[in-house]
Amino acid sequence: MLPTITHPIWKEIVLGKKQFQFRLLAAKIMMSRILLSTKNDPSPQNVDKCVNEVYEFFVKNEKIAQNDIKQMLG
Amino acid sequence: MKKLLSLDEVIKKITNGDSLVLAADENLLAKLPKGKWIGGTIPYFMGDEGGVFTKSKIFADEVPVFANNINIKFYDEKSLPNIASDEYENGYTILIIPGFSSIHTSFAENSNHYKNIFLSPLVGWVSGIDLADVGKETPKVFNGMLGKKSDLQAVAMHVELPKNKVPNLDIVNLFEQGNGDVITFPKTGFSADECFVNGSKKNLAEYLLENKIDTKLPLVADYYGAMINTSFSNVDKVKKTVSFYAPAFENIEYKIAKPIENYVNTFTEQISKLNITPAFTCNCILNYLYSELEGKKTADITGPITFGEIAYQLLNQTMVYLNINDA
Repeated sequence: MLPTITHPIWKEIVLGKKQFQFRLLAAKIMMSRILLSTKNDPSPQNVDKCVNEVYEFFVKNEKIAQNDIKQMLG
Repeated sequence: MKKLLSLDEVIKKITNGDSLVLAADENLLAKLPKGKWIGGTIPYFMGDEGGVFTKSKIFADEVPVFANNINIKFYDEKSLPNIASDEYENGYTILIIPGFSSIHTSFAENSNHYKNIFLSPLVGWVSGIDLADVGKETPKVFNGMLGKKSDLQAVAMHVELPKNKVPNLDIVNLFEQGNGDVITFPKTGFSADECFVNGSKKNLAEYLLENKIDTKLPLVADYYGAMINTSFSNVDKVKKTVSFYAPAFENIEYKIAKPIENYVNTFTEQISKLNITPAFTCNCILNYLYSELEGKKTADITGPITFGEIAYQLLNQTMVYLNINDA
């Protein structure tokens, strides 16, 4: 089950504080851009925008992202 | 079904109402009737018998029969950034972009920032031409629904899948980062003069020549674990500039790839581990040329050999594949 959008894991992911070995290609390319974005602009507004994007991605791709989601859940 | 067919065989499929993604020489695609197909020009393929150059056959990828719907559309530079808004809720999109066009450059430099680009698989390729005709002809794409071709616009087929099917897009890139210098670029582009080598400013052309770098090996960047190549097109010793087949991006760290001893063997080994039967695949003209794939089989993978591969963004020297699994 996907962590809720308010779960702190999402901020940790978009800020690179927690890194995972995602299997989905789209997740990898997206995360590469997200980390650059939050590095260049760590403002709360941008971090929230990035959290929304990553969360929305995993909601949409929940069926094929089970391995990646399991990693997040530890 | 994905294989090389004769013109008559493809006409029969189109008139039968099949949905097709086609690759062939421009003269052949221009002879096809209107129907549910898109196409791009290219005379290089991985066929059932291995790598082949032909202007008398058409590579046909049949959209799976279980697909619910398709939608075919041209995109220009203005509309392409919104391509994800046309995607089906459950499905995928096959995009063909004409090589050497401004939309090719625009997509390559900006696709990662297109809205919702990662939500559904966006797979495809850059059309090309016989290498002997570079400078004389332009690569084209075809919209079979309209019966029109273009060397300025991209064409896409959006495919809707039933709920019990899930698409997954991935790549096979045999290249990985070598152990050498870290190269970065002050700006994004298909060419570069200045770069930074381990943080020190250098001229890239001089660096490549001084260090006798084999430019058949691409620059490789690590995108959160995905190895993404940028291949060298030309090193101009006089102007001291280097051109690429995909953009080198600002803020991304690159390394020259490790050499691959035997492309065919390594490729076959990797494919066998994946255990896939892809609905769509394509591979790069540079792999075809540098690894001399003409007449050689790369596992059972067949498809067009292209001037650039698309998996959400433009790739080089990479095989992309789309797998459709049961949900």
